[in-house]
Amino acid sequence: MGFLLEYRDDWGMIRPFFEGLSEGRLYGTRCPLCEKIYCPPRAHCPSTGCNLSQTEWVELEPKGVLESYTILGLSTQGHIDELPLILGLVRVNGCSTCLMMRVEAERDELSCGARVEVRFREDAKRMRDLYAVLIG
Amino acid sequence: MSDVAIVAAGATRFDERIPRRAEELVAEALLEAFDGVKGLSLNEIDTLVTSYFIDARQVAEEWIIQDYIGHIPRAAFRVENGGGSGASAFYTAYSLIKGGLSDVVLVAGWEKMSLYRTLMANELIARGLDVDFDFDVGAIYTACYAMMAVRRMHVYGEREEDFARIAVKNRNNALKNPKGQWKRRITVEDVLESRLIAYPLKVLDCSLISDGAAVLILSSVERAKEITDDPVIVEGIGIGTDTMRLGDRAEITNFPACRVAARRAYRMAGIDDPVRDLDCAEIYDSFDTVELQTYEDLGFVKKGKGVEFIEETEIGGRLPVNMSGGLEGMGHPIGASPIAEIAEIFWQLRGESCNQVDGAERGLVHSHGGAGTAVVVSVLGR
Ligand SMILES: [Zn+2]
Repeated sequence: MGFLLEYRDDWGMIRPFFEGLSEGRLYGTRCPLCEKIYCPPRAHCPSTGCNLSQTEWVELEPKGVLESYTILGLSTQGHIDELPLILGLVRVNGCSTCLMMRVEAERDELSCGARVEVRFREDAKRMRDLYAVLIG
Repeated sequence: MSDVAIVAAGATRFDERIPRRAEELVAEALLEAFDGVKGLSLNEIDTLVTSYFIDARQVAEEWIIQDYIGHIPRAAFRVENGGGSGASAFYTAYSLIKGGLSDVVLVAGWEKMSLYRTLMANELIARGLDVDFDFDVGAIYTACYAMMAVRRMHVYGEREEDFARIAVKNRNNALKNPKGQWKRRITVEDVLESRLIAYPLKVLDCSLISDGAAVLILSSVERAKEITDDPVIVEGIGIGTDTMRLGDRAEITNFPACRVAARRAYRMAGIDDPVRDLDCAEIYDSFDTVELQTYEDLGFVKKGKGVEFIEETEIGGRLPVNMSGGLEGMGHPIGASPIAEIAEIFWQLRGESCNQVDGAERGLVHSHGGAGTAVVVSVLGR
């Protein structure tokens, strides 16, 4: 396996989500028919009855709830140096779905249902540049 | 519409490294299958349906297999459905015969995991996560199952010891399986003390990384009578699906896709009380927690009560599960594993298993791809 696979991704219709990260803003998409908010965003709503109607962008307050978490002792090649790392499922307030992201916390502080704030690393471009911290 | 029978099954041993090429592994499994039949030659197989998972090195590897076993110029293709590929290939073979398009179908699955270092194997499997979201944050598949397990611990009060009991049962079952990869008796303490992969899952809570191949031959029940005295009937089969990303689901303690698959398979097979109506089952224990969750989704026990059912799944219990050792004990060559699970139930119902359940007449096979993104349930009977 002598070469590294490289990709040229344009993010398609959810590009605004990734552009928002670099500005420290979190965007989701809202279906005008069923009013569900998706983050991760979807350009089309898959809910029954919505017939893939096109969604609208909404800015989200970067706060939510930690639905679950894990502490990794093993990861993929790009993250091995960061072990052990904590990943969580974060339901941003008001959303129907959860984002999987890094959690920066002490292990014994972790609990399902904990309130979290989403933060952005400088010049964030991808999901790996987001992390959640526990708040009061 | 003809009913569908399995007339033969074969599998290589599963092991960390078997010095055979993929096509040689398939040939060995096929030779075993042919050992058990009369009145069938290779050229009477009209269709070949194949399954493998990792495309990183050789793309369209099924074309090597179909050539190598002398199947050309007859119909052949690959079915891809993640870890559920082998069972989806079986589903396809069933449909081809049921629909009258084929008479005798070979289902073949294989994987040659020893080509990759462990880290790389994990990474290639992790690419079955959404690469822009979950894979990008450093998740491996184990992370998704771990987050489901943490949620269950929170909601149902389950403990790591509970999960470990299933790993112990399956690995110790494998000691009776001459084809099994796992060769050492273990205890709950061994599991608890093993290396952390993703809390609460340690390495002994996870399935093995394996080389191996498995095959099945299916035919119409009419044709089956000419091929074997002892066919096994496919009484019911169903597939259910769910989102790729765990975070997109309304429910992460269980597998809704499994409930959909089971409902369909049970309806076809006329099963309304699975614990009463089934004698044995093979469940896709890619992680011991999957087996636990699946007891509930298959309707063996109520949601949240899976732990109470573990003792019933020992040999001698009300419904033995993973007599072969499962993916944790027999091994997990991804494209072959679901086919080997079906083969185990085939052997059980013919009274030929190495870890036989007395008088088994009806069995269930469960396979699972993604983090429950594709689930296949089949009911086999005499
Ligand atoms: Zn909608």
